[in-house]
Amino acid sequence: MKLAKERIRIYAYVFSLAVLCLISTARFACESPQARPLGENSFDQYLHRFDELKKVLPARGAVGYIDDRAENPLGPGYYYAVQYAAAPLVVKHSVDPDLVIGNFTSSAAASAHPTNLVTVRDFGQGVVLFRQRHP
Amino acid sequence: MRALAAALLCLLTGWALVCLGWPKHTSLREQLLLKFSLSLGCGLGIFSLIFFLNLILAGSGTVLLATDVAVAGLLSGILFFRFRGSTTGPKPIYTRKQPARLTRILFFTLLIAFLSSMYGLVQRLLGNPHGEGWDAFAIWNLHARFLFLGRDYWKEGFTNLIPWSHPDYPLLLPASIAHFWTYLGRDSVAVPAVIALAFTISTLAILVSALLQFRGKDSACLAGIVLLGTPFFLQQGVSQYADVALSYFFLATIVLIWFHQATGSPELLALAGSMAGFAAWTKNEGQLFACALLVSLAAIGCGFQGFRGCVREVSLFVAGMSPSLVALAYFKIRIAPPSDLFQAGSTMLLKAADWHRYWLILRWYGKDFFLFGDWFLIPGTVLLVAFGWLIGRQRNRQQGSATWVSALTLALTAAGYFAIFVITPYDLRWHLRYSLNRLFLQLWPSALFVFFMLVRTPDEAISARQMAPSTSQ
Repeated sequence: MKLAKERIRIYAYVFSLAVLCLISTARFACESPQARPLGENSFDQYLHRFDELKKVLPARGAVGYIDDRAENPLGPGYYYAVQYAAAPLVVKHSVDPDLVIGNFTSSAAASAHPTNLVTVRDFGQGVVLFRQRHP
Repeated sequence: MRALAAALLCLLTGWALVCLGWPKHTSLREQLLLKFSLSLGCGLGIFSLIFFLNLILAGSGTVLLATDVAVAGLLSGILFFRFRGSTTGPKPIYTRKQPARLTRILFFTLLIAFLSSMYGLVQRLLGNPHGEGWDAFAIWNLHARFLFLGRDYWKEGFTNLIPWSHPDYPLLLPASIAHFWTYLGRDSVAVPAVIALAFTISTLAILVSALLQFRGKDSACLAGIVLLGTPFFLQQGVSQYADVALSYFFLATIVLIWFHQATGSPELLALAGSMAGFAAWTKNEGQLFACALLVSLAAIGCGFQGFRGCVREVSLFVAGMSPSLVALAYFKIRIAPPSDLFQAGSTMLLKAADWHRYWLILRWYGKDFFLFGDWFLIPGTVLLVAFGWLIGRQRNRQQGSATWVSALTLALTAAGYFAIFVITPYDLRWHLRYSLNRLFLQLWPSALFVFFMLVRTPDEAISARQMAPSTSQ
């Protein structure tokens, strides 16, 4: 009788542990995938914005980067996405290099670029390639 | 088809290395699940080293394929001659008869947890094939792209010009991914996703299969249920960060240390060294873990086996680590810029003298101890402490040395993380907030293994309660 009671007690500990863990697993399974880091666009669709740009970029070296997302907490994510798309080119978060990739929320926003840059080509959807304005 | 061939070659290489590390008198068919789970990490580790060597020597894709086949062939050949005729192996270390009903229920609970987890993992991988969070494409997969697409200029990608890309992080994951991409001829997003999933499942498989040998089915199933009941582990598993891969290598090393203690086989210690080397080649925290393990082996080894035995053990362990350490040293010295965590000595000393930093880190350690797993209702750490207290500690002291080595290694690694936070150049709160939970996660599967090695199995607990009145009379 005592042994049966002990057995039940130990089984209760074991099942409590198992069930409480199983609840956490179930919650993980039931949750929908987390929000994507780049807003409403899927990452692949976002990367495709740069397909045409990549064709005119040099094969190696470093280019600059500018965007209009300084206030956006997801801003760095957009920069990394461009770096990922442009690899093996190094994308420097600066407007100093000779070539600068513009990654804006829209083509209209691209017009507010610094005066030391001239537009080489506007690829649409806010993707612009700039070059330094040489005196 | 190419991907399948590459995966098979990778697994064959890993399998051969793992089996070579197993005791000589055992059969190749023994402990299949454990060996297969260890093969994944070994195979990827070797694949990454071969790819890195090929990059340095500017070899072509054909040379890479030839090297892969040669290494796999060589290891398999040695394996064939070494194990020719071996048909019997040791019985499982844990031989107590366990209540069939409880085992059945726990097995089905584990199965349900596994299937639920797989559903969630696959759903997330399909929803975010590039990983969850920025680190996947800002660090690990970006490095893989530099290795794969950079051709002769791949080193240019490892520069401080790209902020937060951590160019000093080692290359096990990026080089493995790039190796598979070379076979495929394109940078398929499926490769890092599948590798991430494989590491997650293999970590579970190592935990369960190792405990099955040492502590029987009930403890093995329970440990698996607890690991799958850690949502943060699953979430990080498909995030394509390196933390779960690192936790895999930590666990593999610790498990092999226990097997070494149980069998006395020196090959297992060398294999444990290989796993620790791969951990160091995966992420900087792995280097800390490898150092902690070396210190623990030396300190505990001296106590248990004397100086000579200790030197022999440490030498075997270092021999296993050496291929990864050589690659790591070359990468750190010749290619990677200095780590962003270390500043001028005077600045670090000033931070080390600031006791407010220690108090803040301690508070975060305390807080994340309860929260890091993203558990529902009750933290898994609290559940385990309560479970351990209720069910009691097993009294078998045969595994003493391995217990102390594992516990000291995990404690030293956690203390090392603490020290890094003390001197971090970044805002301390920010740094703790975005990394401490992942650091705890790296140690979690190993901590679970050690925990279930130390507490009684359910049948031991029942027997102990049954004995208690008679011994008190």
